[in-house]
Amino acid sequence: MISIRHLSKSYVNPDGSHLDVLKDVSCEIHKGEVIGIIGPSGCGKSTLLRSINRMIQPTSGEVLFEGKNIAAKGYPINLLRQRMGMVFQTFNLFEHLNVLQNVTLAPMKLKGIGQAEAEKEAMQILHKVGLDDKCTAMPADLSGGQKQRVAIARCLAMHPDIMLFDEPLSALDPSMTGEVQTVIRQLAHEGMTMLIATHKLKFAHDVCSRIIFMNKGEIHEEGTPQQIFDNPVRSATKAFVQQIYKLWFTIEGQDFDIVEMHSKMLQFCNKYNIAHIIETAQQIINLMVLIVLADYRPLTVRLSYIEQFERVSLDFMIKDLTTSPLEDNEFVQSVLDDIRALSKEIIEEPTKLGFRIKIFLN
Amino acid sequence: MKRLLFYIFIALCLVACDNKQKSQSNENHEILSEKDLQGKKVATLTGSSFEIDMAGRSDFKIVRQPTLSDCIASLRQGRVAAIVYDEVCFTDDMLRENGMKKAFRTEKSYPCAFACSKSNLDLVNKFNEFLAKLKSSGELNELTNKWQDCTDYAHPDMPEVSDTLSGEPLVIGTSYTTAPISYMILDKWYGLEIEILNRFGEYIGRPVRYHLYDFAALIPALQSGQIDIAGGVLFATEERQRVLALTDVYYNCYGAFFVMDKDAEISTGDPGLSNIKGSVRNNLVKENRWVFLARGLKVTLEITFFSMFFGSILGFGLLTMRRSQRPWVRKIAQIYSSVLRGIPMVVLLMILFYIVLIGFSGIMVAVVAFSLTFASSFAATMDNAIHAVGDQQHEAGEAMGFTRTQIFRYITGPQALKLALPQFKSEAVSLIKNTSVVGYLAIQDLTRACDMIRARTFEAFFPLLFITIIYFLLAWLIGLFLDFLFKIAIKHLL
Repeated sequence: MISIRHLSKSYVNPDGSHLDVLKDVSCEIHKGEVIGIIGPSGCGKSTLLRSINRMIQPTSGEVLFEGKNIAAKGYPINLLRQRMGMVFQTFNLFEHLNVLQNVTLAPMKLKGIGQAEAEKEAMQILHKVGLDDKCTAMPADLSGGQKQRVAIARCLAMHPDIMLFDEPLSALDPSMTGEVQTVIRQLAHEGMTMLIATHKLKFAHDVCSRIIFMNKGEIHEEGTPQQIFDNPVRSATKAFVQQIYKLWFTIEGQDFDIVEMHSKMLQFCNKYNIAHIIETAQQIINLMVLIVLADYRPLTVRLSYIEQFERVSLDFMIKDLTTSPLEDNEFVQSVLDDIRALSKEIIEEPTKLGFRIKIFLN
Repeated sequence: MKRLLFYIFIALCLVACDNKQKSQSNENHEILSEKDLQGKKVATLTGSSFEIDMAGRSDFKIVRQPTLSDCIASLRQGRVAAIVYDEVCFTDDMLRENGMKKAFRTEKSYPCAFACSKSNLDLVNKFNEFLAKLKSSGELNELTNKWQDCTDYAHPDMPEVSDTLSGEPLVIGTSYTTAPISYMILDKWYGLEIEILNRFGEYIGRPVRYHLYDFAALIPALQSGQIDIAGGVLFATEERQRVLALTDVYYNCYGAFFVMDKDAEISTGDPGLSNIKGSVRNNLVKENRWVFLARGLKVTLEITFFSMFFGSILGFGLLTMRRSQRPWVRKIAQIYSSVLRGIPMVVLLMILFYIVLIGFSGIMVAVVAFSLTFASSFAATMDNAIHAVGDQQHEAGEAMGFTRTQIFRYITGPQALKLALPQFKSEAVSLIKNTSVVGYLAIQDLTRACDMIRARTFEAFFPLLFITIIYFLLAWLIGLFLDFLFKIAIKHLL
């Protein structure tokens, strides 16, 4: 239905440098597909989505809809947009109109449908999204989930050929994502063609028929949800879908600021809700950095958190070393015993750059 | 309504204060000559020859006031010891009413003449010829004596002007509205100057028209050809001779120092309400003076409403320019707004009246000027309101396939209007108040009408308080009107 060919978008910064948001992106969208676009923030998913209804004018490349390039000048873009529904992260309801009027505005003003007929149909659609009893409410009186369902109903009233969802769940309270997900699932079930840019990986995994993983303005990997989530081929995809978060420190000499390091670790752990491991991690780091590996500098310490498996690990890496730095004397071994008691597993392994000691905390 | 009552209460308090201060002011020594004024303050009119002559005096200090009524108010409140001005500017009745008296004359007299533009020497020559005849026949003396001796200025003895004159009207500008030189009762002008000029009109076969100007606006009006002759006790100074063509002297005016009369009876007892009754009679009822106010009100309303109407249309154009997708169009709108913001209203009015829109009536020029500024504030207000509605709804409309015009009409416009309403009301109210500067264009609006009444009655406060109440009511009504208008507009848009 839609072919995207060699699409690029770049912005010129005030200082003259270019910011490439999309780099030579090509893909096909077929009728009835539900495509999830995932990727880290700033990877270009939103830009890709908005290029399809030309809310963003691409710098180069084509978007073919029914064989015609919509990015070309002179294309009747407003007629196209009437056939494409768009749902926003922030709902963007018309605040001065009630729920019913929000839904009937476009059919009445753009398609010239009479008020009675438009309202009758709007009520059917509102019934479908479960909001027929809220038809006279004003948007300000609705919850986030209700607002997003009205936004979806507003698109459906135009009988779109395709629906574009730009982070439809991100502004919602976790307790409210369910009702919106249900509506989107229902649409997928009815065969609506949909493109969903989202951060919610589980939602994408469950609803979509195809996943596009974007990274740094490019389509990094695409495939079925099983391929992308369970057997990702490329490492960036893997890191993203497993949601691995990392914190790095490099210790150059003896006067390393260990207090600052601990405070950064605390921030990191709070951010990812793993504050319960902070004390253990700090103890292990103190033992390793100050006692066991005190003679090895520079020393790189890495704290990793894999959200999918909820695993936390600490890596200690020493460059250009081929054998284990853990000496076989009694003192070191007794310290290592203490560490073993605090952690789950210690792995010693040589890497391309040097030697790594990996300690799994759970 | 509560607020209205509050304002009226304040007004009454002010009137009462005025009266009380009057009684405190008479501790001075008797003033009989200039020596007695040593170290004291003397009030006179800004721009008058007395100001210029006496500004450098070391024995007393000149205080400048915009109108004679302000001079009187200062004198009565004891802020100045005397007023120095034309000897003939107060009638005996007025002096008595205000508890004042003439202390002494100035030493020298000032020759008074009419002024024409330098390019109009023909008219000057004709007038001089006419004046010479009037002098030689003794008629000028007769006229002068008649007006100086007149006691009942409300019913002066002045011959009717023949209305058969068919020539091009002779337009006279004057800033002087004081008996016996030149003054108005409703539409008709009376006084010494008026009678001389009427006769001159008959002499050259041209009907005479009079326009009331601010003193400062007289000379530009002459130079731009809006008036043929400027009058109103213009002293023939060398400075004026340099830029204008002056006629021969028709009258020698002495100045006089006026002081409070210690022996005069000053009303005591309940000053508040009885005073208001007297003020109402004096300022509104007598000589049908309320008609001035009614007409002034009409002019003020005309200017306000037409300016709002055309200003809104123009402002809408400006708004579309401000929201244009072409940067240079936005730039033009921006420049327009910043230029208009930078020009004081009076200056804008003067530039339009004397340079750009020559030949248009004062009211039309005022409407143009206020439309221009109102457009600018209209556009800014609406632009801000549309910004306040936010880009998100605009974005949603765009994604649904609405054009920019449709988005404004159905989505952002109705919300922006609602948001803009309070700001819009205050702009409208300040427009009404700002119209009070149009007096510069010889327009008799409400404020000007009030000034004219003050010039006749020399009451400083009552007319001001009265029009304050009128302005307040107007502001209130215009708020209601705008509420109504916006309601309809929002309904109509959807």
